[in-house]
Amino acid sequence: MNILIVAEVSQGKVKRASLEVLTRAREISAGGEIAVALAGAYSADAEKTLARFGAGKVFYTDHDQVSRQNPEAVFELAKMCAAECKAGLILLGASFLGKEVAARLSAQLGAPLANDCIEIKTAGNGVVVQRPMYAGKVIATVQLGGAQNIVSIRPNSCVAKESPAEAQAKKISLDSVSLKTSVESLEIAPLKRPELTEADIVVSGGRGMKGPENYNVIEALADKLGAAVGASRAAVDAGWRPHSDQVGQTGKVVSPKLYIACGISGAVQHFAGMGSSKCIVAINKDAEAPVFKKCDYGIVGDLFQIVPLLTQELSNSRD
Amino acid sequence: MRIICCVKHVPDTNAQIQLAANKKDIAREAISYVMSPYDEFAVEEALRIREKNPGTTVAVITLGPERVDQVLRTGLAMGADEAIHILDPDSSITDPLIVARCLAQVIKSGGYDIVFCGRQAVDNDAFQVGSAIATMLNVAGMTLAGKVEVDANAKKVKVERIVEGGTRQIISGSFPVLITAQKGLNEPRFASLPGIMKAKSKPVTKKNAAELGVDLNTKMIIELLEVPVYQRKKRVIQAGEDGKSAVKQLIELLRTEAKVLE
Repeated sequence: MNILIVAEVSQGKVKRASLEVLTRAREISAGGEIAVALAGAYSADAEKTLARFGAGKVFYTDHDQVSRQNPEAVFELAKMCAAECKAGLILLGASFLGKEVAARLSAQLGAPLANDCIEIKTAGNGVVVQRPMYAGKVIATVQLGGAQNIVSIRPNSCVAKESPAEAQAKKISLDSVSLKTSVESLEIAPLKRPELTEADIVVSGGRGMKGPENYNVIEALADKLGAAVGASRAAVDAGWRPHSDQVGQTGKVVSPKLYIACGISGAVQHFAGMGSSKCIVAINKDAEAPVFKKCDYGIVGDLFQIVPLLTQELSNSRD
Repeated sequence: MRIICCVKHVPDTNAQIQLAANKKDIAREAISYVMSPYDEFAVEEALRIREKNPGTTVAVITLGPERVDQVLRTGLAMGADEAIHILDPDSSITDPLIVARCLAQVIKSGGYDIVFCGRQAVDNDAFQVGSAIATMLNVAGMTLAGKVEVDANAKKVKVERIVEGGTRQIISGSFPVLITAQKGLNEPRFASLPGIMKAKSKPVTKKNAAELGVDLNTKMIIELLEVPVYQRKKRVIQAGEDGKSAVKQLIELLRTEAKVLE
């Protein structure tokens, strides 16, 4: 089966989630061609990386709206590439961009779509996937049986592995396309910490943080661990943290190796967003908090004492 | 201006979910339903645009069995002027692509300037229907709006959105547009008691999904639902006097037992 992958490139680098998707594609292509459409500006470095992970073809464009990651422009590029390489399956990383491009392709091609999948395998001419619903309270096994199928894959659901191939690059012109939307500006925030959905470790603070000024203790621990910083809905609704930090059913769903919940009671909607983490640690002064019934390790104590100690102890033992 | 908001009746986010006997749906008895939280932001934004632009009308639309009439009443009680219910009497439409097809078919003939959706419905989390409708209607689709500026005279819309890593994009487009709402767009109002009373007499148009003339055949089959069970060690340590030994013990466990720290 020929597979088209939409791979995201930002500041010249291919996102890790896209390399994970490429790895999945190799597992199921059964000798079919693996082509990549570059969502972002072309870079020779990105092309080399994609070849190292098994891409046989790399389609790119110099269209300004694709470099600005306009979802409509990336969709138009992917649509052309899918036709050119006769893709039976289109795979994307389940980022906001990936999921939107997938939805547009599905509508355009009349092809069934499953977004945010954690497993994929082939079945006959179609695919069978597993995807969380109800923010992970339920896992659905779904069969897609279209002439073309579209799947986006959640970051961190597999490990990217190299498998060098000879990649052929081809420039695609989008000059004939008239876009209905325009990304007027794109500001890439300086990355202080890893992105929540892609981080190996997440340190989150909830209502027990008592105020926005206290998150420095969480940030210090996160920086010690190279972790992302998250927050519960209570902390976001109180205005202490931006919504982009929220973990839970109306925020982000994360699945890191280690999730450290500080001052978080453990509401159902929060666990929906992080319940599939490999290891969960809770720090809370309330011994009766539900989080202690759903964690691997817990410390009953004042987070303002425990978290700085944890940061300090990790510094000591590493030096 | 004419605005329409797509809304969905979903289980409350605090609900514990159990499965139906056939394991192809969730157990629907004893569930309390709400308007999907992202749809509330969408309806609120539409109402605020109407407040600033006299003469604007706001409609709400949904698809589903009789029960979902409730979510339309919620939208009307918040302040929407009229509602459209696409009836799917036995809840047979589960594929978001087909849902989008039905909604797009009805919206197409309504002459709307702005279509609002939530970024995703918090039941099946497909993140699909809004962008699919925009593509089917061939209108300017802008997702994850954290801020919306409408210039009614110029018929232009500017949306600010934040994606992964804090990246900020400003996207613009001209009427008709489709916008999906992200949390943080606004603070949705609660329906007032007079609002709820008035909603009872506002018009709800019913249409049958089977009579829309769209292809309802799906190529997506839900084979099985499962409730994941995660085994947790639940090893809870008391901090004690100064917390030091508890912290040392925790780090040791994370390194040697869980092997998640170096």
